[in-house]
Amino acid sequence: MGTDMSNINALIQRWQAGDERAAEAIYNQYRDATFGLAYTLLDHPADAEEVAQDALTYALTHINRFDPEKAGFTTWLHTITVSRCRNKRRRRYLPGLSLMAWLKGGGDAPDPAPGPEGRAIQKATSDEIWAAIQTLSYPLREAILLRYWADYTYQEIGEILGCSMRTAQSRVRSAHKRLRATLAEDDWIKLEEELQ
Amino acid sequence: MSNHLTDEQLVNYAYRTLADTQREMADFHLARCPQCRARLAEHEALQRRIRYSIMDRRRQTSPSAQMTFAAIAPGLKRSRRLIMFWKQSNQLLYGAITLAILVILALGLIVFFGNLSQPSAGTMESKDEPLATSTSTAATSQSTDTPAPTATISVPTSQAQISAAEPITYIVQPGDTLELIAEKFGIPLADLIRANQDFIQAGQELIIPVEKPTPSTAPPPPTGKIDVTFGYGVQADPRGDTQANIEHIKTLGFGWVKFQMPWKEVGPAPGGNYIWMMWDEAIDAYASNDVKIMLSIVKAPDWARPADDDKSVDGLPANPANYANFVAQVAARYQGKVQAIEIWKEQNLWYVTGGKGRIDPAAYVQLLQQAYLAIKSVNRDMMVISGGLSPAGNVGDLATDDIEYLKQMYELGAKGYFDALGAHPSGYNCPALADWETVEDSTVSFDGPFRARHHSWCFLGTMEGYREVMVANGDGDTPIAPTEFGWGVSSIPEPGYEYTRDNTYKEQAQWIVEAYQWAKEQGWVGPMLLWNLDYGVTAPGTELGYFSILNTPAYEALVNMPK
Repeated sequence: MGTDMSNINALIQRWQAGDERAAEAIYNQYRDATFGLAYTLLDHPADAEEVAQDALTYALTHINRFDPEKAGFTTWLHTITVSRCRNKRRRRYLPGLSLMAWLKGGGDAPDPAPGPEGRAIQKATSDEIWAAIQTLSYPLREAILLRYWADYTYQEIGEILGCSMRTAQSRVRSAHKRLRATLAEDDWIKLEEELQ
Repeated sequence: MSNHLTDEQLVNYAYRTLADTQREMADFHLARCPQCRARLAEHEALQRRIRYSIMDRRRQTSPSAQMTFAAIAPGLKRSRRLIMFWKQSNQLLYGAITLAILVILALGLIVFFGNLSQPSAGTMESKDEPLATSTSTAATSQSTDTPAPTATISVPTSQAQISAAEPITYIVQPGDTLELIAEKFGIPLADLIRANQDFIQAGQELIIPVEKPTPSTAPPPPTGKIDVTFGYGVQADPRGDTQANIEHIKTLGFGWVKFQMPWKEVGPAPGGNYIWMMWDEAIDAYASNDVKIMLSIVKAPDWARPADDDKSVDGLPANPANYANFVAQVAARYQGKVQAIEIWKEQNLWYVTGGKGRIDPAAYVQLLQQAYLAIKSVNRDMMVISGGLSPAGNVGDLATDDIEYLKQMYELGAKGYFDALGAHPSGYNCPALADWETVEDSTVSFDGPFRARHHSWCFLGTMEGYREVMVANGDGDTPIAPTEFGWGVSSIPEPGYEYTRDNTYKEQAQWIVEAYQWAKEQGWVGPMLLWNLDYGVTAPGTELGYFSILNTPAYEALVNMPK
């Protein structure tokens, strides 16, 4: 990480001085990661590409606003990306959001009894867990994705999402509990189907 | 045990969000309560799977070929010019204000000393200076901003002067134009533009798209193979802590480091705009500390892959010449710094060859031949190692038995196109010197090696199996370079790595040492690269970490191993 950081700061200085090759190098270095983050958040490749291009253009155009004292470049770029994903989502999804989705998203479910979820967790494949992540409310999804997509600390998640560290922690935990409940529920449904 | 921990507390514990005092209380309870430990383990298992699922997703996705810098460059240039314009305007404004103040001061002085015979022209001139300076700065910054080729044409570097070792890149000199460079190399201007950008700057590295000969049958390999000797090494994360890793390699008494260099990261877009930065830094650092470097060059970028292969996994290029060109660039760029290049890896598995049913020894041998010739044409001293095959049996369209694959490689004419044969002799949960036909262990939970006996479960089975094929093909003089080997340890492994649960850190240490000691005695083993040094630190909790020796007994054992 150490070499990577000094690297990017040198590139940023060169681009701030007007060296276009540095801009291209920054772009190439962050292209896949920016797209990847947008894609995990939006789960829609075309939207993700548009948002990622947008975020990279914004960051490169306003490179003089970047302050290495305040945050790492990656955190800054990801903050821009997360904010653009929110805008995109609002425009695309909000009108169609169903009542069920709202209901599912809010509130804390009581802890289910231990037992079946152990099995569900053991059987759940990476794809099933991904599908369950997609059913989370958007704030919870953002938090858990940032936690594991880039191993961000709770402090960093708070900074990127614009909430306190405590809120970031509690969102990550809520996401975990909800996923546990969803996976256990799926497993019961499967079990019932098998029995019929 | 009363007062069991609630699920809320356990989740808090798993996610490390408990305050210190609460954590201590939880630790105290967990140490005594098997039920809560079991419930915690369940939460932690889910936590790992969530992490794994997200990382998995991240690994699987990449943007389309339309997402390029070129697509945003025009907008960027416009905004940049606007910003530069504002800066210049400000400079002019400040210049003007300074001038105005000075003029007022001067006028004041003149009025004050009203009876002086004449105002000094010299003073006025000197007060002009700030303005003159500011405009000339503006002019300079503008000239770097707009890359208009100038009329003064001079090409200081003649074609003969361009080193034979680097025939495909060219550093732009002051006064160069694209037209001139194209003429110099006798290639169409359009080709040069296509391979680069539509404007150039002095000092920039240009790709010269000179056609390389790519006959369907490869020309014979040049004679005079390089001398490959036994050596100790370890794979490290190129993004890891370079200085610390160099220290570790020195402490271990090792001579080699290996990195995996993904082609798709260095050359994500067609046209030869490579991103070397991170590699230049890492390679310079290791090379200047006399650590020999092996690069395993893998993973074609999407633009170079066949249109119809499975982009959710890694794959081979449609045209092997593109890969050959890339590895030759690497060989030329890092001449004297990198000592060995491994051509792909585990090409007998579906997920590095473009999807199910696409494992193709013939395509690989072509890739190997062209890469070998291209590397040797620019750097004869570079050791070329064939991609280490994955120790595997035949599994439908997912995997080909590595020894069968090796036999096919020889049938297809691979002999002579590698200085050392790459190998990945993993040991799974079998001791280093175990015989695959008789190995037995009643204490292990993963019984693959005994239930389905196969050479590939054992380190020796793979090493000796390959050796046999090589000798049978009259290639006994070529050594085997184990470019990845090792034993993993994990108490709660990811799916597919269950065998690591059977290994202890003590066994890991003992078996690695035994493998090195055995290999040193054979006389036909080249550089031997342990998988791996530091992924336990840079990628904790992933399967990469199970094999990492940093902070394990294996590290100590290797420091003390006689070399």
